[in-house]
Amino acid sequence: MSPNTWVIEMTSHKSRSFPNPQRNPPHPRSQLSNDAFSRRAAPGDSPVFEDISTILSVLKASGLLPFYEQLSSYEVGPPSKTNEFYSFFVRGVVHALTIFNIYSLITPNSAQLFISLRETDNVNQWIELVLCIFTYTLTVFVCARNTKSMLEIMNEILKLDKEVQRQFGVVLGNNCNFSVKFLVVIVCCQAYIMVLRFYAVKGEITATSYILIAFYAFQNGLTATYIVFASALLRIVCIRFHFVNQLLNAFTYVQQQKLAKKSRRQPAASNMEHFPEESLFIYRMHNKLLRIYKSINECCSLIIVCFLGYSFYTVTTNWYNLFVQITNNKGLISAHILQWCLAWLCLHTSLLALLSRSCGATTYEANSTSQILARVYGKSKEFQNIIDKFLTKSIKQEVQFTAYGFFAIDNSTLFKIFSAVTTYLVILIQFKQLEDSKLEEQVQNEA
Amino acid sequence: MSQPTPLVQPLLLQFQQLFFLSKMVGVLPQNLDKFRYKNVLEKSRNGMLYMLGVLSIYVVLYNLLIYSFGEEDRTLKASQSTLTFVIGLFLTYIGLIMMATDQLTALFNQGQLGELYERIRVVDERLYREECLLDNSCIAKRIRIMLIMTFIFEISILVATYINLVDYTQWLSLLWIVSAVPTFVNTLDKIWFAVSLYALKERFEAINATLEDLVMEHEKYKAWLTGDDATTATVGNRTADSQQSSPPPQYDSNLEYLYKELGGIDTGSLRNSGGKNHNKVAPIAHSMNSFGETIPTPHKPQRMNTNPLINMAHESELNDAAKVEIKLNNLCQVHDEICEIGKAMNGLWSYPILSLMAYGFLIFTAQLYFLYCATQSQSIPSLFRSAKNPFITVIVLVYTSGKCIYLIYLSWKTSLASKRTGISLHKCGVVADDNLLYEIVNHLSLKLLNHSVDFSACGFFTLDMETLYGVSGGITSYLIILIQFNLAAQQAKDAIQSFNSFNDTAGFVGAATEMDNNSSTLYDMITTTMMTPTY
Amino acid sequence: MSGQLGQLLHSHLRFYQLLGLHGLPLPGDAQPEQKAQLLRLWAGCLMISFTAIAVLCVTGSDEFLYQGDAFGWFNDMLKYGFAEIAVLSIYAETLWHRHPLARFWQLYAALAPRPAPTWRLQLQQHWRFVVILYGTLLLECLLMYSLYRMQVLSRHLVLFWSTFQPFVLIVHLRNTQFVLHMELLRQQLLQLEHELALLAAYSTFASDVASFDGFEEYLRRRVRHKQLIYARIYELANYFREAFKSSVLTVLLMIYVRIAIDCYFMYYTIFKNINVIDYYLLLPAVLEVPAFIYVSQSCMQLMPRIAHQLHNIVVTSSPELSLQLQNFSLQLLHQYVRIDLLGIAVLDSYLLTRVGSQST
Repeated sequence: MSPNTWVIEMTSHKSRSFPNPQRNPPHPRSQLSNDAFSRRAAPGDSPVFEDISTILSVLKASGLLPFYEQLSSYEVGPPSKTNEFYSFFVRGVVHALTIFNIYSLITPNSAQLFISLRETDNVNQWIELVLCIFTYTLTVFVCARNTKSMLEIMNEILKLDKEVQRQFGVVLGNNCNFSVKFLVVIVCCQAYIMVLRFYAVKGEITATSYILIAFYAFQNGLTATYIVFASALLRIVCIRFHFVNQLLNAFTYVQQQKLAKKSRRQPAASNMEHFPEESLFIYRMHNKLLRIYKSINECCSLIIVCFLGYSFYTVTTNWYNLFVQITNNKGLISAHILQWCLAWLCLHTSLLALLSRSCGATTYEANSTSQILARVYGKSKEFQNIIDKFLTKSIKQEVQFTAYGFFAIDNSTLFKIFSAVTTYLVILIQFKQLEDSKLEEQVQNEA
Repeated sequence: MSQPTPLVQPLLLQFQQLFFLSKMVGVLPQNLDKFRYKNVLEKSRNGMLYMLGVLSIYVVLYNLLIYSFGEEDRTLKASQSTLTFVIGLFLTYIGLIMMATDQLTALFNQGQLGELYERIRVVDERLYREECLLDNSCIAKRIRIMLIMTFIFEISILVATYINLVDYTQWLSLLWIVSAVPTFVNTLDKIWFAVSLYALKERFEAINATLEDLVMEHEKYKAWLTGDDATTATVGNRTADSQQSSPPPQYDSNLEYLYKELGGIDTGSLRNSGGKNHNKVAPIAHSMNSFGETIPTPHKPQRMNTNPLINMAHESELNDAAKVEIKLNNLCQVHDEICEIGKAMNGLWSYPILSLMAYGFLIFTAQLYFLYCATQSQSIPSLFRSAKNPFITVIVLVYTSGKCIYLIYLSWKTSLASKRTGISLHKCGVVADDNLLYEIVNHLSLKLLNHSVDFSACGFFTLDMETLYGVSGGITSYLIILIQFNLAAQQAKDAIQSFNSFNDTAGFVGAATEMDNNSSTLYDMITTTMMTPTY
Repeated sequence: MSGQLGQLLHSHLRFYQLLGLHGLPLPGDAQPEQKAQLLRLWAGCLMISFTAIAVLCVTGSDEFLYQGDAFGWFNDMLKYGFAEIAVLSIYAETLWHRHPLARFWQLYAALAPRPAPTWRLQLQQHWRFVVILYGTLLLECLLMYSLYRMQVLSRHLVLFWSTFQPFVLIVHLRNTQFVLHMELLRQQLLQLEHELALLAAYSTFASDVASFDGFEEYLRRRVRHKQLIYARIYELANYFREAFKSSVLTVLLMIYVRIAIDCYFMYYTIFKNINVIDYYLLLPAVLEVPAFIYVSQSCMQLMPRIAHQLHNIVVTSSPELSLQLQNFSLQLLHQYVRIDLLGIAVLDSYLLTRVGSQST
């Protein structure tokens, strides 16, 4: 779609549905021909958050998100009684299963699962299971508590969209196609791992083991899905921030110079005169976005911390296992464990990358607003005062997505996690080698 | 270029030698002729093909090198602990990875690199219009120095290693020369980055200098207005303008010793970067002359002339608020533009810098570790034979760390220079003491606070000195871990060996090791069966 | 006549001159030119002799280094190496880097033209520096003496300590010199803060009780005056950093290396029941670092207080005054006095915890 068609669409849209003759300066619009903003002429009654509907339905079905009612195309309401009851029911079942699992983990019922040759491997697996259970349970609890605020966040985003629609006639897309891809990856990995585990168990598989493995995969999958959901939300916010930045960008001196060059040929008034009104709108929007960003952070941060811890542990142990398998001197590299480790690594690494990237991108966009504004050079004192006010406010406000206040999540988090993983890996491997040589020594002494 | 006489000399003029060299080695794919005649970097398909060819030749040769020198390693694998072996294998390829990253990024960025220098040229023009001149000629000098340093380091490492540690009776040993290629290519690439960064830093400094000149002129103007007695009148409060052109007479007797110390430099023209003052003026004239035409340099010579003659009629631009506003606005915009260029440059080189930092970290740690291994007369991977000699090791370490630290230091300095602009701006405001100007200054200073130029490697970590602290901490802790475990492993091995010498025959040992295999699996089975009831 | 500095500072600077740490002639010296030449010559001699000692110790065949095992030998070598680097950087700065130091003292003289008239007041002014200097020096001497009395001296110990102790002394004195400069900086900041507080008090008084005509204008002028002073203090801090650019780093590094190695050996010797108690000599080194960091931190802690006092100034009606205040606060944001090791690490107490966590 070329920008031209879009502009035409937009104007028709404006003239038809909105009598409010908002000034519509042509210039910022034409700069907005960014791919991130998908354009639909009239939203009609299409469901909200169309892009992430798959992931939403999965989360709804598992009771992590409420079955909200869609009041209009720009508002969602609280869930109906039956749906609420359904969510309660699902959560209850999940908790019951969790208790059952913990019970079977500390009794010998689950012995079948720990088939590894080494003692430490079994302990590792056990810890991993417990961590997974813990993470998922926490997710369920936090989600149940945050039902209302989640709905609020959604409503806020929708309200913002509505305002943007009214003001500029642009429907912001969400561009969250990645969520579906990740969902497929998660399901594939979990199914694959599940199958591998079933194969790995020797002898007859008891029902308890079946339940344990299946539920384990289920838990893992849902936690991962929730992380993808959080990233999708962040992406949505990021796109809004980006929109704001693009709007502002039209006023910067670089764009003004370009315009000035153009206007030599075809005289057109500078769009600076719209700046005060537009900037007010932009500030408001930016503030709202910041609020949304913060509330998303509040909702998700506990889960994210837990997930980061869990995936740190998993990645470390899997790397370790992989290494042990490869450098195994006995020459029997078990293909089964290799595949298993690779599946885990692939899943967790991609999730970590996704999370840190979307956090980093959003933080970057949020912080770059003031930088772009610093590039706006107003002629009169009035403009300068407007700019000054915002800049003064933003000096002390470095926005960050924190993991429950422990640390900020952005690209450097990924780096830190992986450097920590390598450190632990080196230590673990060294210990293993020491252990091995001690073992040899012992054996030889016995001989 | 459309205009017949460009206002400023393009920065790339200084890059001639570097460009030819890097074109030859295959670091940059851009068009040679265009560069020679027009001083622009343009895309070129032939260059791309040439570069790809060179890259593949390097890869093949390097693998050949690893293969031919790797025979010793095969025996090594049996004796050495697996970890050392794996690390060694990884380390042998990191150089190649680094080189490939450099060349491939240069390929992908070939168009953007030209744009970057074009943007710098535009900035130069704007700066020229604001009467703030800068001098590119020392950049060529810098490039030459860096190239010479690189050659010295590379050749000394290569030759010393070749003579001391390589068996040069075989003709295949000539392949050892290839081992220097990755670092050399990488260094050339980094020289581009470093010099461009340095150019940016110079531009920031030029802006700062212009602002400070404004301040100084105004001070002189005020001194001229009020006459000499005014300065003595203000002595009562502490602000006695000791920074002014003439030191207040009261201190003369006591501070004389200090002025003597600062000797040579006129106190009036003292600026913060004291060391840089010496060659401030001469190179400007030179750069203009080298351009082949006499451009009237309106600003600086005038300043220099008026310096001794205090009583000449002064004009201060700071009195005319409207004019100053335009000037300050323009400077601020240029500042922002330079910041943007810095960011873009950082974006172009982010992957190479990341790989360089990884390389530096790994090689530094590995070289030290292998040095330790060599002093304990353990065998080390053949590609790291330079670690057998402490002196070569020192050269290698200095070379590698010098590259990394210089980049970090330069980017730190650049961001410091960009921050310095705000300070100079405030000086302007305070000196003029005019309400209109205060408003302007406040506005622009807020803007400057929001201009950010920070250099990072793919957003993973920022390139400033604090990173250096973290990296050195990382290196020491890794070294300590590695050495400790090496010690422990050695002790364990010694114990085994002493036990083995106890048993005389080798056959017995073989039987023992076989038994060891069986028994260890047995042991595992016992442990698993023992363990299961606990759950 | 001790000129602008006051007797206390004057005598201490003379003391540093004698050690070759302060390469500038003092006010009141006749023929400053020759004096400077002489001082440089002296510093050069000292540098050469220290280097000679270090080279002799490292390469000499006598028992300068611990000969018992390779690890101990390596550690002693490391100590000498870092001490040599520190001493080299110190004297290199006295020899070739005197320009920023001269600017520092020039600016200081401009900022504080009148020293306190009597010894007592000067002592009061500089008590921190005096306590730190003499405290550590006394402790050092005491410990040396006690080692001499209590320890059975082997040849290695005598040789090692008689050669190593001068390095330690020079480095520690250099550290106290940093403390002196930072203390001067801190005093300036403190005075600025007091003056700003006074202005704030005036302004509240004027807005509450009575104001006279032109008070706002007066206040504005005072604020501008303070702004100029602040810019100068910032320059002062800058020159301090410039003047002691590398030696701050090397001195702290040397002390740190020595502490790390000696702590390890203390543990080792206690573990092995070896009757060597020379690790007591570590104590002054352990005290030097916190002293330095304490002073630098108290310097930097004044920054938020200055900003706070600035915002305490009540603006009633004058837009000019508010503009000036805004300008000042922006200036504070731009020029944050920050004392660091070549940008590597900020010198505050947080550094102690980081270093501590790394060394464990």
